[in-house]
Amino acid sequence: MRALAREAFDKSFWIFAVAALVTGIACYLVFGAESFGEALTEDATLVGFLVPKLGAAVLIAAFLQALVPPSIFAKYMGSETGLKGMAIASAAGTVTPGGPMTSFPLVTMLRDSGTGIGALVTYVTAWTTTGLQRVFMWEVPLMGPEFATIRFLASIPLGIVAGMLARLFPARALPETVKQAGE
Amino acid sequence: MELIAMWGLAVALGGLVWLKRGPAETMTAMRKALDRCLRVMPRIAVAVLTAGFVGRLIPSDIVVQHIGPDSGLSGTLIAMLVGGFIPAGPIISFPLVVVLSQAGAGTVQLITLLTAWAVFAIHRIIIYEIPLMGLRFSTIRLVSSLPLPLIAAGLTSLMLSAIH
Repeated sequence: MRALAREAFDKSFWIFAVAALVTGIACYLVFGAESFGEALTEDATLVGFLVPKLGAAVLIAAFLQALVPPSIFAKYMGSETGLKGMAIASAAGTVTPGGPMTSFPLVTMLRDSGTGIGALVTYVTAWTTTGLQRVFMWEVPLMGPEFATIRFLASIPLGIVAGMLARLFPARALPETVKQAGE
Repeated sequence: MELIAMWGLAVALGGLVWLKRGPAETMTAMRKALDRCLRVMPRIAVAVLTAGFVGRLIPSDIVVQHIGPDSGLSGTLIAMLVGGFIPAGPIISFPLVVVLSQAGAGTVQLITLLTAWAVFAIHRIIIYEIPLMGLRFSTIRLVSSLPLPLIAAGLTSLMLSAIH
């Protein structure tokens, strides 16, 4: 519990707290008390709207993880080549939860098990652009479902495009540990 | 409406986990969710406050002029540049997008900005990607990702014109 409190109120919390205070004071000085009060009520309402949505969002993400662990896809990625490998990589990246501290160790694991450059680049790109956890935790609550859906749809091909471009690099340009196409 | 849909989805997925993986894993998933919620909540509260104040301080005509819905290709390129250089995670970038959106930025420009931030995120490359995967891998991935924000922008404008 104490560890949780320490993480919840970590350095980035205090940086934001100070930033909120400074910008709040600036607002008060520039626009006066009335406008400051308006901004405060508006923001508090937004936070009030966000909290129940965030609760649902983290539950959705956690249940999705339990249903479709990314390691399921990892098993197939090393053995599949070409477009099929990249399609699997794209799906795996989309369901991989968490920040870079969980996804990049998985990327090194994939590389060591023989996944080619195309599928590796596809995986990283899909995780950052179509990652479901980010969509549900941040985008839907803050920007609304329409914006989130449009951005998600527009991002579906990105992983495979980046993977195909990465495969155009000649074998000698690649890191020694990575194969060109995974064959 | 949105809130009911989200909780409906959460409950349905929870039922599915219960059926397929059993009660123990359902409880683990719920505990993980609660944990994550408690961790990010205080940060989100102060980040939203900051974003709201900053939004009032930024003159919205500047935002509209540079990355508004009618800013065209140059607005898209500016959004790509700004997004690529946000050195922070989602706790900063998403409230920033909310602020820019309220100040009058266009949907195409915001999606370009988010895509550029997602694929180029400088802090993530320096802290995680280069140490774990090497400079060559990062370079290949970055070069291959250069057109992505513009592709996302193009697909977004196609979808928007199809809707409206």
